Amino acid sequence: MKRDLSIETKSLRRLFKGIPGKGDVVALDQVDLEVHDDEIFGLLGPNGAGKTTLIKILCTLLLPTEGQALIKGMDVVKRASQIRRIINLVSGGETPGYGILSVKENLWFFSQLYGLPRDFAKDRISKLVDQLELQDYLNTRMSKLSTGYKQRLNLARGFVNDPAVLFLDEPTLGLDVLSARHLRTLVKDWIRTGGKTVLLTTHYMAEADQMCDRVGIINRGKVLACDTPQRLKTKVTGGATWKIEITPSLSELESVKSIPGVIGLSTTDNIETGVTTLKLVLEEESIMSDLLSKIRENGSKVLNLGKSEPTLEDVYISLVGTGME
Amino acid sequence: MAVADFVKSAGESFRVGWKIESNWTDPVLFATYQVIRPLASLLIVAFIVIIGASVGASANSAFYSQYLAWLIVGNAFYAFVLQIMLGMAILVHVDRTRYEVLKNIYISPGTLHPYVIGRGLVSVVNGAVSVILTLLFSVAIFNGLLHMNIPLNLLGVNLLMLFPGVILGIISLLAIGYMLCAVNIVSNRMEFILGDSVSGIFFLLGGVIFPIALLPSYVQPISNVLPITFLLNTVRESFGLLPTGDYMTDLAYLALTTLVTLIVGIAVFRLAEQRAKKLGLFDRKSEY
Repeated sequence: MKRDLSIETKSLRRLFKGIPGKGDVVALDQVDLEVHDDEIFGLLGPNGAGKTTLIKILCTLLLPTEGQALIKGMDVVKRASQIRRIINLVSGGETPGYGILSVKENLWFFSQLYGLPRDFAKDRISKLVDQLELQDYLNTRMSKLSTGYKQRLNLARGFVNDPAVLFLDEPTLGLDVLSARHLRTLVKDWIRTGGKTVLLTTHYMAEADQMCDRVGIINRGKVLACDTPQRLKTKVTGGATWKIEITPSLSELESVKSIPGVIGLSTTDNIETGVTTLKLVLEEESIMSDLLSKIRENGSKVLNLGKSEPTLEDVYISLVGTGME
Repeated sequence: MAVADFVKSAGESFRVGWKIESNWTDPVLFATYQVIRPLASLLIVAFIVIIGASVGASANSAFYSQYLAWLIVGNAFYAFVLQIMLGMAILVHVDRTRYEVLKNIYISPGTLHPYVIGRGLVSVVNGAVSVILTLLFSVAIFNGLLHMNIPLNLLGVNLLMLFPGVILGIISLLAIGYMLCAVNIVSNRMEFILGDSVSGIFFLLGGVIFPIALLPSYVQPISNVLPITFLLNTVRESFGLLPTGDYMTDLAYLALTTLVTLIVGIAVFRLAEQRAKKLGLFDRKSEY
């Protein structure tokens, strides 16, 4: 048993029944993952990549089809009841409790589900309320809270048993910039208290870059890469990352994608200005002339062109072949 | 999970359940809501009997008075069935789809068990409120308002006979409620019909409004394995309304059927839990 590992998966596989005649859907395929103590580990991937499925298995909500998943060395299938004492889950964009109950009542309910002694629970709730700046809403019904404050309550509920392993499933989904930043700061402060682990799934590259000690990129149930954000970016700089602004947008995106040497491409359209930004990861710079020709063939005009510092998004594009959007 | 923690979780689930179910209005309106359905159902049946009897010119006969008392007690205590079945049939659906907390409750150390029991006990309390109010209103209406002299002496009830039967009956109903929760964990299409269907079957076959002997012979064996049948027998015996009944035999049958229901209820719930874990159903939303 590896004591320094908080989360470990070995050849983890999960199938779901598909549409009749189309076979099973592979949600997770031979996933091997190691997440250590005191680590914020990010899982990046598009919708349907398998992020939530992995979290559900690790949270004892779902059984794996094959392979093994361990939390602090304990098998999630065989020792689910022990694992439940030391984990918690916060999902973004979901109701954090009963709408008819106040913030305090919701937190108290969940504290009691974890069997916390009364005085200890009161103290814990009081601290969480302070940390999450929920003091003014303590006796407010949950249904009356704004989305940002609901998510703060959700996070407080996730912290209520002071879990050793916290799963955050897109925790900043739907939050404004300030609320999201506040939430990220709280999680980072919490992990500094020691002996904690966070597994975070997110769509936001910057969030993963800012928060995570290591990042795993997952697509179609497979973990494509797993390393620190910096190392992942360094790996990509073996190629070249470019940002090209064009107008109008490409009529045949696939024709550009299919140019030999284009590792990945993502596009962002600015509807107001009519400018499309292409982010490209190229094997080598010599491809650029072919690329510009193809853009012209598409009837688009290049407005701006420049090499850019690789970001986690570039890593993602180079591995998945497309952007997250 | 330690027993103390289990009790604490169940207690807190009860408190939350009570707040959710009772806090939506003021106490008077809540009590009215609790009594209106059983009382309306009772009055419909009772007036059919009264009108039918008056056509036969025997409205005041001892038989019909005795029967009305039998009917009132059966209907009043049927409130336990109604509250527990309807409350527990909808529980999983509401907490999974509306409040989205079912998965968070499931991943707590006690999983769903203390939570389901705690929430089921809310239905028991609601049922008890309905029973008491229905009995009081019935006496007030039939004996006070209509001067029918129905032999229903609420102060003369043998509590030593009443409580064992009611407690066993409630345990069996909670076990059946457990099964309804189990069905709803694995299905998201039955929450609105399940409670009504099961309580309707019990209403028809459990001896609530007419004696089981009047049922067709081929359904009587079903009535004779339903805990509600023996629950109502013991209750009516404690009210002195079943002179030919054998209390101890009925209590023994109630204990036996309760035990069987409890075992089956827990087994069905565990199977549903396993299936939900296999298919990932704890956070499934209804698609309507």
